Amino acid sequence: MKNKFFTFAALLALTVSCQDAYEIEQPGYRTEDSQIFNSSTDIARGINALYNQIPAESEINFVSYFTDELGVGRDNGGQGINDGSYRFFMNPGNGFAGSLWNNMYNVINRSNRLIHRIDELLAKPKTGTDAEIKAENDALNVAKARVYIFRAYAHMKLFSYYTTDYKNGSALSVIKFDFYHTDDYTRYEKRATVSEIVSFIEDDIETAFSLSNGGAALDIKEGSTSNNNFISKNVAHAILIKLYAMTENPQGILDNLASISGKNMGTAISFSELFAKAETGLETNPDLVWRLVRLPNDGGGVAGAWWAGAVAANRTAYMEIGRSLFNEINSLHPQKRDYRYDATVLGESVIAANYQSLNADRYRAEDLLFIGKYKGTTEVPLQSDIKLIRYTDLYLAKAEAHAMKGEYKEVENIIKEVRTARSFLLDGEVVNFPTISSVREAWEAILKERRVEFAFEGARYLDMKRLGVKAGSPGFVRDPKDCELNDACSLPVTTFKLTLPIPRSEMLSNPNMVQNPGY
Amino acid sequence: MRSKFTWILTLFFALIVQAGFAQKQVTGVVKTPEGDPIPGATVLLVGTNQGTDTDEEGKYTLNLKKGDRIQVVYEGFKPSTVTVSDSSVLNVTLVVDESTELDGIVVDTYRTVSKPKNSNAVSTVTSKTIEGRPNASFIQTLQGQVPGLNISTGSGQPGDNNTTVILRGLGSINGNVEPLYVIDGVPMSSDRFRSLNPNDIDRIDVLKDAGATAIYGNRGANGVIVITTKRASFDSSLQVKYVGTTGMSFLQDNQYNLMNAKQYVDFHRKFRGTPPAGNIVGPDGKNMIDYRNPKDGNWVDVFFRDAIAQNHTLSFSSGSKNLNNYTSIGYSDIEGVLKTTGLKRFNFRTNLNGKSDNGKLTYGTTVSANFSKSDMATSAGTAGLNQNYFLGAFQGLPYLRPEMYTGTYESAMANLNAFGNGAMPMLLMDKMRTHGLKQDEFKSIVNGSLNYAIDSNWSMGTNLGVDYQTINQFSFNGPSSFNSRYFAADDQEWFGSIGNVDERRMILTSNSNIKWNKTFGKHSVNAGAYIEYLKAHFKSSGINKEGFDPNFWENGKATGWIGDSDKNDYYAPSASVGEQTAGMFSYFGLASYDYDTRYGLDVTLRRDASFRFIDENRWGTFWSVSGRWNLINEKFMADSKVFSDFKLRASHGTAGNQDITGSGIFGSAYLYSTLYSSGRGYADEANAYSLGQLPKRDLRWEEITTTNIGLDYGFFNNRLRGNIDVYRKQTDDLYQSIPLSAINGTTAINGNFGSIRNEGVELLIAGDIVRKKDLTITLNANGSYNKNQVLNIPNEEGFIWSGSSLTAMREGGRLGEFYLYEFAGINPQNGETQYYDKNGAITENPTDEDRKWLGKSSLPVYQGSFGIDVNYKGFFAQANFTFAKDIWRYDNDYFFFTQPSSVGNANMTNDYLDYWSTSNRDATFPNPNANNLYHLNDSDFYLQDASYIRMRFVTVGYNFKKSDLAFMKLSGLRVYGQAENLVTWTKWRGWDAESNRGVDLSQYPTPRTVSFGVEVQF
Repeated sequence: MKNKFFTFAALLALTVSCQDAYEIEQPGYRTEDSQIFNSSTDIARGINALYNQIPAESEINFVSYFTDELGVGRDNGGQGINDGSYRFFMNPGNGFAGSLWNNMYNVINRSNRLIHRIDELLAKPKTGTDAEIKAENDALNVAKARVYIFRAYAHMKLFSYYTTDYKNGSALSVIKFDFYHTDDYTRYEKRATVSEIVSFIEDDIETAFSLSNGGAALDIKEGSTSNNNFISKNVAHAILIKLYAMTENPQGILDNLASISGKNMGTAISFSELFAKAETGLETNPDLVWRLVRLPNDGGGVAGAWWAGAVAANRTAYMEIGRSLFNEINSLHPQKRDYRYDATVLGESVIAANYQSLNADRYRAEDLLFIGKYKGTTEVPLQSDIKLIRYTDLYLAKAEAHAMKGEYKEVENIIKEVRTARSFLLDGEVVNFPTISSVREAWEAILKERRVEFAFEGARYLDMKRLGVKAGSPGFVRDPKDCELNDACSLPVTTFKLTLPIPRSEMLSNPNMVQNPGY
Repeated sequence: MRSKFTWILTLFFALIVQAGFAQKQVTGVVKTPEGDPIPGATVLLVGTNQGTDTDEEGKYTLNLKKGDRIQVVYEGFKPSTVTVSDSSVLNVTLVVDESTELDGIVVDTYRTVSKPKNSNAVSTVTSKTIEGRPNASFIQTLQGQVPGLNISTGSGQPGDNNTTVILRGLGSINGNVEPLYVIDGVPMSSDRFRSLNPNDIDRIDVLKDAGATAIYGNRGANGVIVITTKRASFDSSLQVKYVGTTGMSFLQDNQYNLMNAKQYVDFHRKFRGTPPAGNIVGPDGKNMIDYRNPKDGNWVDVFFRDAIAQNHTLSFSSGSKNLNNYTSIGYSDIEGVLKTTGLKRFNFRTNLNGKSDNGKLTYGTTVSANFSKSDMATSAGTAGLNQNYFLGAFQGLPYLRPEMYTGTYESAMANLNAFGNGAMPMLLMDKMRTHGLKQDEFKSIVNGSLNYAIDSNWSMGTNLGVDYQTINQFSFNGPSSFNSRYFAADDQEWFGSIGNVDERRMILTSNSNIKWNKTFGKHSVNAGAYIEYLKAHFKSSGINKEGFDPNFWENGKATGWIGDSDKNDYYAPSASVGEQTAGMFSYFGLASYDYDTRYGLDVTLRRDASFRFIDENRWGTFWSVSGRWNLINEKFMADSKVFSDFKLRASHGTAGNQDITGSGIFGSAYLYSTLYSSGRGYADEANAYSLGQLPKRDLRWEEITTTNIGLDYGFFNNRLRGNIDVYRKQTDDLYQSIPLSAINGTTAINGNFGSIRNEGVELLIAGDIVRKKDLTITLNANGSYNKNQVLNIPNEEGFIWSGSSLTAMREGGRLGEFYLYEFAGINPQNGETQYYDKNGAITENPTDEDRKWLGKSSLPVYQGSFGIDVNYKGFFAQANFTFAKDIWRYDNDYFFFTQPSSVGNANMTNDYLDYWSTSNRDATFPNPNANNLYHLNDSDFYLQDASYIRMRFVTVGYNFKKSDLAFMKLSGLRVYGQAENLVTWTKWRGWDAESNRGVDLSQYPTPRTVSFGVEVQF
């Protein structure tokens, strides 16, 4: 008997190294932030990941389909039609409503984690000379300032899409997410009020300035001047301008605009370079406050929302420029010397003068208004740098500030300035601009100008939400030819669909969440 | 050929030598234990091919000498070898081969018991069913053979690994749902068996209830399929066997009622007021399409073919006193019905078993080496109109013709520009010319076992198995292809791309045991203790590269490689390397008690540790108890004329599922931990650090508890026989998605929560309608009913719906239940679509709240098969039908064939002619301009009853008599023809009613196959 157990024990010994069967270390797995974030350089790598989280392409995509920017393209195979996105269909399962909410709170979650880790690193005793230690602490503080601005930006974007009434301080806005949060999955936040979110964004920007020598330190990056592809002092001011345009704080707009440095609307030439395929001079383009750089291996591709293959007449155009938008762009200047025509309308487009008399098939085959704004690059056909914030956007906010104060003639001047900056006029030619004789007309002019200036840049939806009623706009209106086969002609300005629904995943998980009206 | 000739010569020579010895005439009768003569049995002089068949009275006559040994063989009986004595009469009694009958044995990895002593729900399929079928994988052959086993292939790719095998209903939501496969004691890493030769399989035991599966603890939760390959027996002469099949496969038909060219042009004219306009100029300078008289392009012939398949297996088995060997080699070449797809396979398998003279020490080794080359279809099931052949072949505009594409990129572009998306078949012709995906797989399964019987009560053993697999995947897209150029950058000069991935998996399993058994009087007890160790390693490397010189390019190779240059990075290859390790450790024991083969009790207990879990959740404990009562062996049944078998079984127990993410043995390690990742940088920064995964520390095993009650029965000398099982199978601690607030950085995390339950009945019945000497007719049927129910959901609402998905999950509902608007017809006034709202009223603008639980799912409630077996003299015929009922699927193909946006872009169904207009108000399809059209695809309008009855296979053949074969020196010859999937009765409109998906779009359908087979024994 003893023998048997002895032999069995020997067999056991064959497999005795049993713990290695279940205690397995996978190579390269990092489970603590202290394993990877140990210097200002590491933190900068953490910030890099935040840039990649901004759903800029899907915003442009969504806004173009859900507003009156698009028309059905020559090669449409049901895109936008079968799923209802071109037909103003919106419910809590909407893809963009979900991805914006999720991505932005993800950015904030990571921002809060970075802030927490930066504080740990600041508190940690360091070795080195006093100068070295000071340099590292300064760098950490600047990084922290950047993260604060990121957090403010994310809150501003969420505020803009999910808040029903910007001007009612006690109205429901979004979740104020100002705390370090790791894996307590049972924490449920309420929607904060409009005034709480506004002051939170203001505080974050202020904190960022105080950490970065009033913002000056933000613009120094590794010994050279900051590129507009990173968070900068200008971006911080821009966030506040965008916020105050919604909450109607004219003085806030004017003050922050005055603090923007080194930027202007540029010229017709610099404007046309903004959207050129070559992407040259974007670092120094006067109009560009913040762009998201897209490199060949980054994936995605903004023009893929409308095109397959590449942006060219012989490629597949699912969607084209809506006729109602085209007519606006087309009327800017009789000889198309307002460069917004060239930037928006692809050169290979074919314009049917008598488009209204064509039948549906011929209209689709012969009136070819190709979208040329995001043309892709010579390296990646459908992908371009995203022009996230332009100075012109902020400058037109100044017009909004004047309209808020009833100064409609100032608005007229600003519109004229914008048009002048976009036009390449021959001797003796003068720029066309609207004559404005009431506040309502001022709002209307701003809305119209923004429509052509920021076509296919993801602005139209919020512009209508913010300005539509004041401008007396009927809402989104497509040309009858663009809705002949799908009966999706217009969406009134008063629709609840101008506020996005709180996504289903949040409604389902968070007992404190309140849905927006209409959904 | 030459070697075969030599071999026959040798035999002949042996005969001559034999003839020199003194001979006498020996006669005898071959009969059953009951004394019934067996006509047609083969009597063979061992060591020669000399022999004869018994006559009508079971008699044989041979010239033999004393000391000669003869072997008697008859199908369904165990071969018997006897030695010639001085007597000239030698009668032989054959006993029924239990492995082919109900009262046979049951095999699992750890124990083998006779059927009467088995207490568990186990179904056995033998080589008789598997051998010689023209299926690339034995999984397909198993279809319809085992009650409760739902096998849906869902793809016609030969050897496709997407086949879903589900036993007794879905037991998990996100985890692995398929059974564990164990081949000759070696647990397999995956269910991919395209490299294995089905003809090598001796038997398959499907273990269903906890009594049978608890002993597989960590992976037994979804059932276990134990595969035993063929082996030889000791003291047997050399047997050489050849099995060959040649067949042809055909594409299944569809019932979409698609338009032809003329119908389409007429429809377009009616719908749009004008005929279609696109055109292309032919070589004669004229337009190639005449819209007044359009010709049809035969796209089906461009992409599909009548595919030829052949399988050959040659096996050798022999045994001496202490050693036996079985060796087989196999070769298969199976074409897919989609051109360019197919599977070629080479198999080698050998096993060697030895024992000591006293039989105390036994050992065995099995080595198999399998190599397969697959040419695979890509993008099936996707909406990629330049990628999916199954989409383009049918959705292409019917008036386009293959000759409009002349084999160049320019030609593809010209067609695209002329016809837009409608030109998809041309783009696919271009793809077929330039593109491919190849997988070369080498799989080797090696195991060795050693057993030692210490005394009559004690024995111990160890078993070591290795499953080693390498896969090389090579995909290519030629430099002249449309797809490489259309999507290229402006200033790119060189086109074309390749991708190469090498993967290597090695799984080592070791099992050691000590067993004890004792019989005292009518009591017998067995017990065993085991330890099991598993360690698995995975390595992969890959390279992707763009830019090849067309002058040097060859499809399927990487020739014409353009190097990286300073100008740009287009041609720089990208590479990746990966490594993973997995492991498990277990110890377990089992004990069984039997009293007089009347009562029995089995107990198993197992402790398992998995690398996937930590802390107190690392170890799982699983157990089972099962018992039986063999009523037939009770005195009161002894005189029964009616009952010939009657046994009650019951079992209860648990098993675990550690593969909670369903990603295979290697996937999802470290789910319990926060993970950070290093990834794509931003702008001029090469690197970015980010949070990669949130932790779920308390992850644990999914646990399945099964209760099973079964009855095995046989009536009238087993003329009517079968079994019934009733079960309840409940999965607790389900690994499923728990919604999270977005502040966590993600909107859901998977954790253990909730339960689902499967309850059902399984029935197997077989009856010999005729059981005569010359004629037997057997009818057989099996069926199962499975009710799947979700018990609880991780939120207060009691249901989970993503907000856009077609299916959702609710407490009390079924898994995969469709959650859609209920279509209420077309509004005759305006042609808008209408739906029932939550109050039952009709609405044109339903909201989320109006979605309905339809009680319909893509998993069948009823399924099974029935068939008939006829043997008449040497002829045999077999037919088998499979069915599934109460199964629903969303027909996405039909959706595209009925979209107004498809007009001018894609082919459509003639059904669509019935669309709403002011002159056709009572229409099937809505107003093409209806404003609420998009709700239709969220309604049950496209949900289709996919129940079916399919003639799974029919076989007709002839078994030659030994006596007729003597002149060919053969000991057996069997020829047969068979047809698979010949007819399907279903409401489903698509090519293949059988699918494992809830939504189907342009998939690779399983083909119809007709084949011819031959089985020769030397």
